[in-house]
Amino acid sequence: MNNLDSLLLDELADLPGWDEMTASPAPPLAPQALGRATSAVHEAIAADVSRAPSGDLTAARPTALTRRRRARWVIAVAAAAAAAAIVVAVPTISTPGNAPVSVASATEFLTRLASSTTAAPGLDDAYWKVRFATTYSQPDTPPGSGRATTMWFGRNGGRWITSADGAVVKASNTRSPFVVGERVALAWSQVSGLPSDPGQLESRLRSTLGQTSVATGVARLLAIAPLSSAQRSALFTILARQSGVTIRTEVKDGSGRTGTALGFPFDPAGTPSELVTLLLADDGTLLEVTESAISDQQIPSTSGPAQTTRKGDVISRTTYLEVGGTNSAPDA
Amino acid sequence: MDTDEQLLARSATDPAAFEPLVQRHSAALYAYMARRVPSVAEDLLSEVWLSAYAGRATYDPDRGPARGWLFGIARNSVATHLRRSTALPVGYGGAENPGWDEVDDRLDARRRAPALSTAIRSLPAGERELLLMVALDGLSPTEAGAALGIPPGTARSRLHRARARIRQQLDAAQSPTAPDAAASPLAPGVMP
Repeated sequence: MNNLDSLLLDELADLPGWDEMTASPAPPLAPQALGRATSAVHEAIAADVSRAPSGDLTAARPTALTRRRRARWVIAVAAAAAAAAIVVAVPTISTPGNAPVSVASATEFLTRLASSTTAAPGLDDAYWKVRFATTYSQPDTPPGSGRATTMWFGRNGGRWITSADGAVVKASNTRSPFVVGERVALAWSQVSGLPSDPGQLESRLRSTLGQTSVATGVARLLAIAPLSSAQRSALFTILARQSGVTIRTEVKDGSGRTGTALGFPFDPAGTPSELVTLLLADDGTLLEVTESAISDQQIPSTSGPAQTTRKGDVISRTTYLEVGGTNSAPDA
Repeated sequence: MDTDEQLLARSATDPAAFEPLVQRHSAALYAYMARRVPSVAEDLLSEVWLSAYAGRATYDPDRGPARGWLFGIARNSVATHLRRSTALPVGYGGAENPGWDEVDDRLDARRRAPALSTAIRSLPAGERELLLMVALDGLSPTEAGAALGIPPGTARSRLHRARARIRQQLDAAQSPTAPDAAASPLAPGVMP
């Protein structure tokens, strides 16, 4: 599950009654029914094998699909070339007590962040507070899209969220309020216990994210988790090891702050054709996550004719306005 | 362990590679169909797998996860069944569906049914179906989008909108002017 899916599930989980809806057991499948389905497929396979000419079991693949795959590669290469072309300024990174340092590539930028990052502010406080705003540029843009939402996570458990009218609602008493992967939630102490060794942390991440890109899992942790400097350093090292990363400098987020944008394509198998971009400040603060289309798409609407999203169009933008600890209890 | 997408890709030339998918996803696909058409769900399960096997070459990973693709086939099977059945509502189209008995069962159990169930029922069809796939069937927003043939960003946008609508309704139900607001089991103070 990607970062934005997880964030949305967090918000949905705060609906009263959601936990009960999602927690009940599913209707059980009788072993006999599974056996019948398995046998049916087995027989179909056997029939295919017996009919196929010697050595030829290739399923027919539509030529349009092949063309689309080729087109995807062309687009990906073109996008990478375009991204490289717009690196018009050399990014810099500030290290404590030193002048900004010039860097020339995404890997170098991330490696230097790994060696200079600090812990998020307020790590020892009683609550972790995240204020963010998500905007969508799709058809059916939600009402209130772009309005800031605040979430609090309690050191001893509990999660609070602001509702549409700005009131604070205590939404859950769970002791594991930090959702970090596909239905994986951690307590504050478990977040603190995450490894600071990049290899171990990446391994842990992969175990929670299934087939989703590691980069999206890293973004998730950077966005909402109270991490030490060593853990944040490990996350930047993990990002630096990813391939196909593009870099742009002097990019502004939705609130006007400037940072360096790093684009991470999704894994090639079973993932959507979108690019996730992390906008990072010079000190490694995550400013914004955007997802954009890397190919033209026809998008059906629930309320009108289909619309087209063009390659490069931003589909959603989540701006992190405030992330850090606080001792002020949510006013719920 | 091979991913679903790797198995599907390999099954193009090695059909036996498809078989693990049946073991992996049958329970979830059955549950999805049993919630909507319980009397025929077992029969439809075999149909879904035969359709998926026959159409495995049409799966395109660029359009979303394999799990979403499989649920899309299940959804089509349910819709086809409902269209053919004269005893069930016409114009199913996938959106007016059910799942409602189960939604109500689950909510009734905690005496939360009236407000939340009403709020979900009042959602536009497309948003409601997405929400139920995520809430009841355990799909991620991206997977649910793939099942319905819409891109991940659009799926999230619609779910975000659905949440806003539900929250708005629940807030209205809890306003001081609403009858029995103080005693409502949906009041934030009694949330789990």
